[in-house]
Amino acid sequence: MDANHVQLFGQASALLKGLQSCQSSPPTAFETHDLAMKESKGLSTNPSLGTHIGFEIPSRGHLEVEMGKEIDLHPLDPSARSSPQVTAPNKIETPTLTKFKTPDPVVHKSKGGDTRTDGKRRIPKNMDEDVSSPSPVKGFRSLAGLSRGRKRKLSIGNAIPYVGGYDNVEVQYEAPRLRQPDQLKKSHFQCSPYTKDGVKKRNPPKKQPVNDNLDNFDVNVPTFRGRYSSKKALQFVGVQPLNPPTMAYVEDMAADGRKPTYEPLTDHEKLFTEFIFDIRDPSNGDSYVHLKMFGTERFFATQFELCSLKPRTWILDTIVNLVAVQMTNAERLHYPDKRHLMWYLPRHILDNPNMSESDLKKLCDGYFGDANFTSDIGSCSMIYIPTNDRGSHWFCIKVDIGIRMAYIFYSKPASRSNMARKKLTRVVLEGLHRAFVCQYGDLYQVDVTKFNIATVERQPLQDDTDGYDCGLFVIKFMQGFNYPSGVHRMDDTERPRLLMELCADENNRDALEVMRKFNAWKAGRGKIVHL
Amino acid sequence: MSAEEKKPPVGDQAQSNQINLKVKSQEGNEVFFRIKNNTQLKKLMTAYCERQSLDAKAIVFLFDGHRIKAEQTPEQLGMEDGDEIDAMLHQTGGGFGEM
Repeated sequence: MDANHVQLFGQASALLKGLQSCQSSPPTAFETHDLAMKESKGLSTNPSLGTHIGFEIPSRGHLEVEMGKEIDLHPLDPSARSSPQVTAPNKIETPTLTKFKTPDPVVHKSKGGDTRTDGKRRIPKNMDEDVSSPSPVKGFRSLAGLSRGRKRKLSIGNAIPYVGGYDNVEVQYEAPRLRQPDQLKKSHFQCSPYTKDGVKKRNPPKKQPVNDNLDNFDVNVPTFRGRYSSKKALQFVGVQPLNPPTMAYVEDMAADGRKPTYEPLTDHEKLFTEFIFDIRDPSNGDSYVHLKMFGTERFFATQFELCSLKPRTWILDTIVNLVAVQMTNAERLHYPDKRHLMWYLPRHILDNPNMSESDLKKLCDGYFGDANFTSDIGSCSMIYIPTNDRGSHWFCIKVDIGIRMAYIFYSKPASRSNMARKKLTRVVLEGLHRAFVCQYGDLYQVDVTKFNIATVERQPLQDDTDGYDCGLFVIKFMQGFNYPSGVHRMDDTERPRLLMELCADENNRDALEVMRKFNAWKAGRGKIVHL
Repeated sequence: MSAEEKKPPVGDQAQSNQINLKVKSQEGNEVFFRIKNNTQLKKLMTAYCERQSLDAKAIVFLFDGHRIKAEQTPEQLGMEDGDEIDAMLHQTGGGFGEM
């Protein structure tokens, strides 16, 4: 350290001394064992130097001399003291016990703060305020300095909660603040949709009109969710759920379509159904239903194929084709001039997009024309085309020539296969267009490939658990049965009745043969020994 | 393999009694058979199913849009030489398994 530094340091010390002398507030007492520091700093515990300050702090040497007089002991070596915070020497009253005692006269002389915090810097504050003290637990604040004072209260006036195990620990707790009325939004007043009367008044559901006639009923039943899913809620809003008791109500409204009959089967019908489903020889290829069309035999079904009408069984295309023949025959009865309006095509004739011209000519010779499923193109109004969707599902395409629309009857709810189904419909319409061009030439005016494609408006749907009745839905759609929209379960009597309609058809060439077999089966039924 | 299919024509009388039929599948594959006019078509059906490894109950044979019975003969159906028979697999569906 050079001379300039020493000189500057001495001037700074002189300025500090002068500044210290001007202080009016009591300074904090500092103790140090470094005598050089005592002399260089303005803060000193030396009574001779501190007399000009507003309070007295006895020096350590003086205290030790006083204590030594009382207990007749030598003062302790300052280097042996354990803590500089101890401001008073130990006073041993008994040889074995050590008792720390602060000499009262000396303490009372001091005008400083609590002697327990002498080693710390103490900030003078009001007793009502907090005391800076290191907390043993993070997040807690010690109240050690306030143990003898007044309990601090929270700003909102709640008492400090007691925490077990920590007498001097306070939980940092803030009571939930409630919004003042002027802070509430308008929506806060409308959180509950119910009033005191228990009646919902906010956004009341519009009351649905009760369907009194058929035209209104085709509107889909609105689906209610949440609190409106219960039957009682449906009645509240004026919607009658579709359940068996309301089926009669529905059927009365569906006056323009054929009504499904749910009469129970007679014993004879049950026995006949049992006979058809009782296959003794699976390899038997004898036809049981061989329908004629215009005097020529067209399609037939063996006993094995008729067994697809068993409950919970997928329906084969043979049955669908037989129904198409049956419906075409029924149409021809109404129009003897062969100008029937409804055309019913069998499946697997139009869904091949790669038909050659020879194939197309053969197709037209086999299925189109007055001798087959179609007639004069000018009289055609509707064309029903049952179609198989990738070998797992039946759906029906209804081509309405009059309004130039193609409808898809699909008994499963809309799914991701909608696009594939539309593509297949387009392929079928392309095949139909080519066949019409080949068959009718210039008489064919409309272009079915340009028809719009939509779903049928009034469309019953299979239940989620019903994975086998889509063929029956398509057949009933072709037959003109009018089921209401929404989920519909086919009755157990539908399949046996369809079986008997096919077997008892007047165009069934094998009807007499089947009845003979049936009588023989009944006669030999008692002789069968079940193993 | 049926005898009618591979048997070479012996003479003019035998040749006039036999016709060549073509069985075409949905995929466009064609199989040719030679069969007598008065032979039941059951032989042809069985031979075709064996060659194609198909179940006879799972397939339908159509001629000019009419389904062929196993007991019928080409003569009964008015078949001529070179006629085509369509072999169609049964299609079915129920609603499950739609993609």
